[in-house]
Amino acid sequence: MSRIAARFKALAAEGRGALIPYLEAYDPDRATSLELLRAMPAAGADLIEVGMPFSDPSADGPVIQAAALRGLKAGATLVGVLDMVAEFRKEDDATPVILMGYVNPVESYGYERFCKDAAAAGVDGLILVDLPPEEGAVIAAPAQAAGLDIIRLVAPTTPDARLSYVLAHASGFVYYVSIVGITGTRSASAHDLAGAIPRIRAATDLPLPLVLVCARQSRLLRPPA
Amino acid sequence: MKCVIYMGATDVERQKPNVFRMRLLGAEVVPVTAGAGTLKDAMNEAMRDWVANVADTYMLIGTVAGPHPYPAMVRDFQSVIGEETKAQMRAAEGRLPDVVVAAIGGGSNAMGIFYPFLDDVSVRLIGVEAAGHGLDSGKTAASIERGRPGVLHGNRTYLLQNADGQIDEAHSISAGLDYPGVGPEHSWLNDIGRAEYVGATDTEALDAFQLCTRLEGIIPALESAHAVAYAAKLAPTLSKDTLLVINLSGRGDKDIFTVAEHLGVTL
Ligand SMILES: Cc1ncc(COP(=O)(O)O)c(C=O)c1O
Repeated sequence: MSRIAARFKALAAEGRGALIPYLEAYDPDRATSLELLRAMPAAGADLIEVGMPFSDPSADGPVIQAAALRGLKAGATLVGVLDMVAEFRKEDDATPVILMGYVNPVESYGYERFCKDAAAAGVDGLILVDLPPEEGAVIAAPAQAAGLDIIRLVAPTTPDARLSYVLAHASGFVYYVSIVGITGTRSASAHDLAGAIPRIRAATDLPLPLVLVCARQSRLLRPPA
Repeated sequence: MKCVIYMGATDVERQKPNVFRMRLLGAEVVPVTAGAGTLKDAMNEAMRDWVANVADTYMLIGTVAGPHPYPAMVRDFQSVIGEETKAQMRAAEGRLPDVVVAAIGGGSNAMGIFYPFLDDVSVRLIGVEAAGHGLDSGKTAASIERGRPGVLHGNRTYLLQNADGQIDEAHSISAGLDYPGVGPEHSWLNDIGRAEYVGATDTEALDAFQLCTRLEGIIPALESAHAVAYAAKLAPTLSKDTLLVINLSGRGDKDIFTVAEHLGVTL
């Protein structure tokens, strides 16, 4: 069983939801972001999303845009990001790590080589926000061969017919964007979610975490002293 | 209807007359400071606005780039240029042109004039990219000539990018050509050999801007001046009866401040 499936199974047995924080790699530098990554499981992270900095994060709000730019300035490359995950894995073999980013750097690296190297580094899943399922064939087979989940995004604006299509190409869990908009701008209301969750639930058995926005640095994720 | 225009902060500065015109017409012009503050950053910001306001907002892209169906839609609209060129050339000369030259930013004016000629294989189609300081200077916007295929803004095309797939900042003296990508259909026309893609530098465009103004009494846009520059280089190599069309995609009134600055003139 993959780390992602094992983690969601354990959470279900405990009867609690998953906390999945997001961390931009190399922000503000490699050492600090690695330290943050290492501190996350003890601080309550059940799964971790690691952002792969990209020059043009067109689906992201100002916070992640700035983080990505800092990451690139600090020298982030995909090789460097994978290496960070590999170092994290030396100490933690259970917490799933999902890489999130844009497709062009991955295409440039080579889909097959990237999936192999990512799996070897201990990555469990990939979220490529600008790779729609229609174009997903480039990564589907190499990801499957490497044992990586391809996590797909669905949004409140995703119509039912498309929901089934997108979810037919998803594995690991479903990334429900929960608001109409870019990252970090606002959170969905309980009312929005009450309508949305049953609709997506009806279309998939995959775990369904929700994207929420922390307006300020929360205690839970305070950087280690 | 409310109209919001995202424009790179750098371009707001060097396209001041256009910005003023848009504001006079009632548009809100939002300067985008991300990245180098040029077209690529404005595209990112417009897409962010659109995904947040998709229920009541229509997005327009000013070139043949972006996700499907934008490149095809913009091409279809712009193809009135090629249709009219064909009709006028038939009326004036009784035959098709031999060569069509157009500047390439994202590629909409070029796509528009090329499209109706695609099946007329006798017509040479030449797209002129902005070579900036020179094709090999690292300060260029020549995506086809110096880029490699990749994915940006929802389409696969030639992109100026580094070895890690991070998108480079483009450079051109001309705001409208300063984009590290190019419409995907141009990449395809390049790959199948139907159209040729060449470069003209900042300096060549500045010279052509002045040449066209003096000889024709027409002040061309700096973008279009790139096409004029290449046509001026090509024409002496062609026979006298060659019919060569240059697409003057815009007027240069907006560019006189930039040109004056480069010529060391204070207005
Ligand atoms: C007058 C003019 N010509 C050409 C261009 C380049 O765009 P495209 O390649 O899409 O025609 C621009 C862009 O702003 C422009 O203003």
